[in-house]
This record gives sequence, C-alpha cells and structure tokens, in this order.
Amino acid sequence: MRQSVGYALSVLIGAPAVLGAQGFGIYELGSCGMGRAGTGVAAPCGDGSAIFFNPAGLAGLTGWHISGGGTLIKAVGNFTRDSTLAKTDLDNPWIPVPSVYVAYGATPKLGVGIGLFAPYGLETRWPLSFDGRYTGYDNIIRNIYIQPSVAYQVTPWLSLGGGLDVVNGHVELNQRLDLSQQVIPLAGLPPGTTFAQFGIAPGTDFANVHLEASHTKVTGGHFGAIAKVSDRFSIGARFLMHAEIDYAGTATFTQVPTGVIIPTTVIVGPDTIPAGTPLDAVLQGLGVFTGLLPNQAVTTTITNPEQFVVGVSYKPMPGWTLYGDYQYTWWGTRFAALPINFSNPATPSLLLNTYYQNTSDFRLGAEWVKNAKLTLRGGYLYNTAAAPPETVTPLLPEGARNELTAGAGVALSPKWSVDFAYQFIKQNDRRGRTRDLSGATSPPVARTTTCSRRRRPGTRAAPCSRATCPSGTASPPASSRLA
Amino acid sequence: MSFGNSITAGIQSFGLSDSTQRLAYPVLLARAMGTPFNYPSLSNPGCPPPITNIFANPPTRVLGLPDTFCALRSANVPPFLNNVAFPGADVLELLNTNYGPPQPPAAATDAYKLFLLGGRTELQRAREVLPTFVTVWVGNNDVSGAILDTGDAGQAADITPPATFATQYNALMDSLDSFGSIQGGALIGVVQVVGAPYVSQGRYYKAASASIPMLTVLDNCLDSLVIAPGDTVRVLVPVHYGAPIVETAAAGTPQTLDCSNYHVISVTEAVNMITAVVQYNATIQAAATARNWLFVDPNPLLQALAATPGAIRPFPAFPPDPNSTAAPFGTAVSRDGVHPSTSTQKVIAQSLQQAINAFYQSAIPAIP
Repeated sequence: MRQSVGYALSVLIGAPAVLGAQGFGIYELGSCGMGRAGTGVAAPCGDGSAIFFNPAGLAGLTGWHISGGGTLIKAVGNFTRDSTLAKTDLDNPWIPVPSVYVAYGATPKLGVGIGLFAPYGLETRWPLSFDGRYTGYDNIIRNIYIQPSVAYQVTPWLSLGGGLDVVNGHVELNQRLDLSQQVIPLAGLPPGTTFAQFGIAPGTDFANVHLEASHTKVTGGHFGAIAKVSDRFSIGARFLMHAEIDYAGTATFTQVPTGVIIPTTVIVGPDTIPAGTPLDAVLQGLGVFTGLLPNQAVTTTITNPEQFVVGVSYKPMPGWTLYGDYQYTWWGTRFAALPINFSNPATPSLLLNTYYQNTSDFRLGAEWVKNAKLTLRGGYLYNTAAAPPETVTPLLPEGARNELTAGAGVALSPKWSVDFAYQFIKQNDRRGRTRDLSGATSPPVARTTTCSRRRRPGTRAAPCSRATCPSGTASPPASSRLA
Repeated sequence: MSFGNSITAGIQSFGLSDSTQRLAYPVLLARAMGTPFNYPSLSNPGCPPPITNIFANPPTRVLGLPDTFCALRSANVPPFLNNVAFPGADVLELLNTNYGPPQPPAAATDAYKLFLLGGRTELQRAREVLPTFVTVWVGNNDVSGAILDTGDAGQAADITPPATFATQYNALMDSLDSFGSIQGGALIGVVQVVGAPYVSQGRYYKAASASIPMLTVLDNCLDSLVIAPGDTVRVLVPVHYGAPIVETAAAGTPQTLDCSNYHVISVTEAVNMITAVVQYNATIQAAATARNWLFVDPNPLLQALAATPGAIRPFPAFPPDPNSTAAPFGTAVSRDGVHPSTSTQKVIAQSLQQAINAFYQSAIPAIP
C-alpha cells in the first residue's frame, strides 16, 4: 500500500475563487498533477488521481494507493467601478478544496478506484458596500464528484478506463435587492412605475435574499484511454460528461433598513404618507415582504460542462518526462444563463445571463525524478476566458490566464510520500458590470401620487406630486499558490 | 459635481422639468468639460410645470396644470448624480445627515428632497460619486426667504445670521474636505437678492400710478438711502403684494400702496439683507482662499445684466410692454422674477468656464 498526502496552498490575486480552469472549474485536484500544470492525461500521477485525470491510468497499478489532500484557496483582488473608479477589495476566506483517491490494482491488467473531489465550484465574497451586491455578495457553488472507476489494459499498449459521476451539488447565493429598481406595488400608477421614479436612489438596499439549494444525482460518467506508443511516448485522452443538476431549496428574504425618511407628505391615490414616515414602514404597509417577497421554495438548474482532454507524454532521457495537454470545455453550451425560479408567482424570477464561451486550455509540464526520494515538477498553462467581456460580473470575474507551477514529491518511506506544489496565476484585468443586465426583481404594482404642500415662511416654489402623477474592472492578476 | 439650490437645479418660472434642467449652468459647463454628468431628470411637464403667466390669479402653468402637479422622475434613472442641487436648499439642509428630527420647518420644496435626492442629502448623494471637482452655489436661500415671505417680507427672521451662516458654511466645506477625492472647486457667492425683479423698487410703482388713475402710491414708497456713491438702497415691493394692488386698480377699483405696510421691504430691511450677503460672501471667499479654490462673485455679472436694456425689467412697467407675458421681468430672468432665464444660465456657465480656465490654467472649451 502506498499512501500520499498532498497539500496545496493557493493564493490567487485578482481572479476570485476559481483556479486553474475557466468558468467555475477547478483543476487543482492533486498536488502531483498541479505541480506539472495539470498535465498528465497521457501519463497520470501514480497517486490515484488518475481517477480524475485519466481513469485509464488505473490499469497497471499494483496494490493499494490511497491519497488525500486538498487545496486551500485564498483569492484576493479588487473590483474597480468604471463610473467612480472606486475599488472594492474581495473579502474571500480561505477555501478548502479536498481530494481523496483510493485505487487498487486488482490484477496486472485491472485497476479499480474511487475518487472524491470538486472539479467545479466557486466562492466569492464581497463587502456589502460593493455595488455588485445586487448580483451576489456571498456566493458558493460547490460540486463534489464521487467517481467509482475501473480500468483495463486491453493490450500491452492500450488501456481503457471509465466510471460513473455521482455529483453532490450545493448552491448558495446571497444578494441585496435595490429598492430603486422595484415596481411600486400599488394600483393606479402607470404600469412599471418604479421607486426610482419617486426619487429613491439606486443603491438603496431594502431586502436581503439568501438562496440555498442542494441536490445529489448520478449525472453521467467519465472515460479515458492511454496508448503507449513506445516506452518513451504515450498518448492519452479523457472525457468528462456534463452534469446537469436541478437544485431545489429555499429563498429567505429579510428586510434591510433603508434609513430613509420620507421628507414630504405624499398622497398616493387614497393613501397619504405623512412627511417624516420611515420608508421601511411604508414598505411594510405595502405588504412588500408578506405579499411579494415571502420566504419560499426556489429552484435553479446549473450544468457543469463536458471536458475533453488530449495529451502526450515523452521521456527524452532517464528520469525526465515531458507532458503536453490540450483541454476543451463546453462552457458555451452549458452555461448561458443562471435562472432562479421562485415558487411564489408574485416574486419575479431572476435570470443572470452569462453567455459563456467554450474554452481551451494549453498545458505544458515536466517532471524529473532526481532519485528514489525526490521528484521535481514544473509547468505552464494558458487558458482562454469563458465569460465574454459583456457578461463579466463580480460573481465570477474570471478571464484568460497564464499560470506557472512548480512542485515536488518526497518519498518519506516506501509507503508514504508527500507532494507539494506552487502555482502562480496571472490574469489580466477585466472590465465588467456590477449589476445583472436582466434586472428583474419587480413585482407588478401602483396609484396616483400627491405630495402635500406645506409652506415654510419665505419659500415659494412648490413642487408636489399629485393625484395626477402621470405620468468595473475586476482587478489584478498575479498570484501565487503553493501546493 | 454641483451642489446648490434651485438655480443650480435648473428651476425656471417656479417650475422644474427636464426641459429646464438640461439648460442649467452646471450641465452646460460639464458638457463643455466633456465629462459625464447626470442630473435627476424630471419628466415633462415638470414638478411643478413652469409658470406661463405669473400675474394671473393663481398664476397659470404649462398645460394649465396646478402648482401641486408633479411629474415623476424619468424612467431611465442614472446610477448616480452629478448635480445634487435641490430647490429650496439652504446651507443647513446640505449639512443634515437625514431628514429625521430635528428638521427645519416643512416647506413646499421638501418634495424635491424626495423626488430629486431620494430622501438623502446632497452630501450623501455626492459622496457616492467621489467627485474630483465641485461647484458650490449655496446661500441664496439663506436670504431669499426675506423677499418671498408672503407673511412679512424683509423680516430679519427670514435671514440666516451671518455668524451662523459662517459656521454652517465652514462645516459644509469640512464635509467636502472629508471626501478625500476633491482636488479643486469653484465656490460661488450669494446673489444680492434685493436686485431680483420679484421685488421692484417703490419708485416704479410711483411711476406706474401716473398711468393708473385708481392707483395711489404714497411718498414713503420713494424712501431711499445712499450707501455708496452711485449705490442707493430703495424701498422694495414684492410682486405677491404689489401685483394684486396694481391689478385691482387697473380694473377700476381705487387702491393705495402704503410702503409702511409690513409686506413691503423697508430700506432698513433691505440694507440688512445686503449686509448679510456681503458677510456671507466674505465667508465663502475665505473658504475658497483657504483651499486655494476659485471664488466667483456672481453680483458683478448680474449688475451688468441689469444695465442691459430689456434684460431685467422692473414691475410694473408702463406703458405695458408687449413682451410682458413672455418675459415679464426681462429676458435675463424667468417668469417668476427670481430665477435666471435660459440665456442667463448660459451666461453664468460661460462666466464660470472663463473663471475656471483663468484660475486653474485649464482649457475648457468656450460654451457657445
């Protein structure tokens, strides 16, 4: 039995929460693989992580291989609002991304294993002063994959592998609602009249929404093949099926004090709102929280895209192995929008249009087995962006990246080894919106408006409403990580 | 970023709408600067619609709507404001952090606090933007209440004491300093409101009486005081008091204008107002000097306008002017007798553009 422990510490500057892969993909699923920039589809690491990187690599293992580890991700960075150039710093905690692999070489040709890891997920946490809080200020997508896998050496030069994908998905979204965008829930006003038209300033929080939903299902499978062209040269490929997960959970709305006092008496149809009335009391009187935004069930669907990876490995001299991988991920096919549907018909559904694009990863890696105790690794990767410029949001301000990695494996004993890796990530600034373009949090509504005229000595101009009322840049890029 | 009151907001003829807001001097100046500039656009016909004839009883407004009518804000609301001025604002109201108690007495203009600023203050809305350059034109309402007071025009209670004004104005400037983003600004002085045609000198009523047999104007309406060579302070009659008397007399009912009436602004009261404004402006100029900001005194500009024939027209004018409905107070003043007309808003913007260029060695293009 060989056991290994991997430890990855990631500090990502400027690209909140997601590492090493586009969209909300995570590729840091083993310290050995991370050290060589995620390459190895043609020759996976021997720590059992082949379950993810290429299940065909399980064939030919001898005995038990158990590895466990994780990546600690610390994303730092900030978002620059185009209009004011105000910068808001990301407030992410350390995020653990676990990976556990158990593999067993049942025969010289047959290998089996099971892995638990999180190839998709994100967490972004912004302070409540951030304008992007209406899109989401504390967001989590966490997908734990459990992959029971089997591999067989069909011929001395060809191994095939595959398995099931059991996915536990969990989604949390916390956002604020902006009163200025809400339609006034009163009959009589022109349809669609918003609080902004009564002067309520954009950025007036009045409610907090907490959405939480989970689901576990067998979503599909994963497959791989490795062809050993020669003792020095191998070709490998793997395919991870998409995982469509229908989440069901709860939406909890809580009132957030606006702190606004109505400064003038307003008459809306038969109702009079006296000057000095807190706006929060007005909202309660309108039944905003009981009728429009009650706690309720919520559903959404998120699909993790397919991944296809093809690569080669080559041993130019004893102890040295070079790797080259290419990955294609179907973000554009699977993540065009993030819909959130509420059970209460009066609560408008939300739709975050993402319009992601399919992406490519190019990875190069190298490994040098210095001796029986020490192995050194390094790599470089480049990936294209999933989010087009027009849909980049603070929810996930990802972009094209260049990454450099370095790592080492140390054999502590015949049965124990430990791996480390370090990764430097460079992502260029991205400009983006802080608010959802689709807008849509507005219930139907309204009546007519009036404000009373009271006079202060010495003033004359008299504005009143009346019964006749007619009418960013996601920042810096450069990061480091240790694994 | 522009702070201010009704003039900065763009009021004309006691009405405010997008049609007048877009012609306000800060909008013209920002356009020349080439900087994005959002103002809280009110849909037409306005909130309330501008007056079309101030001498009607009650004054008529656009589309015949009443002065209680208020069109809502335009549906396309900008994410932030660059013009945070609201009509009726005095210096104290810029300082208040919210509209809870204690508050100044309710005013008709309070509605603008909601419809323009959403229940927040000018400072609160401005802080959202982190402005780098500001114009501040406040203080007019610390004295203008004395000419608009329909209860007792000219009374000292309508005038913020200069010492109080100084305290409040300096606190306002401290608040602006606390933004940390402002690199420069232009502080505009207070207008000598006794020059507004809303308050006509008693001698014009005396002259009008020669053409209106039923109108008697007592000699006390000719009272005056020479305060400097070529600068004489005279009795002032507000339109809200004098116009009905003239109207009634012209209709054949005998009327007498007695300028000892408390509705009339006496020479002493006028001097008090003038003195207060001089002291206000000394405070404002000192605040500008302390920050190495530009100070602009608007009074020479307005005096030049007053010397321009037809620009500022005293009421009542006899023989009647055929333009008296379209421009009852002259082409420089809108139909309310207080607020600048479109042409004067442009002149103010041009004056600021030139003063800013001279002071900051900038190159803001001319405002056509």
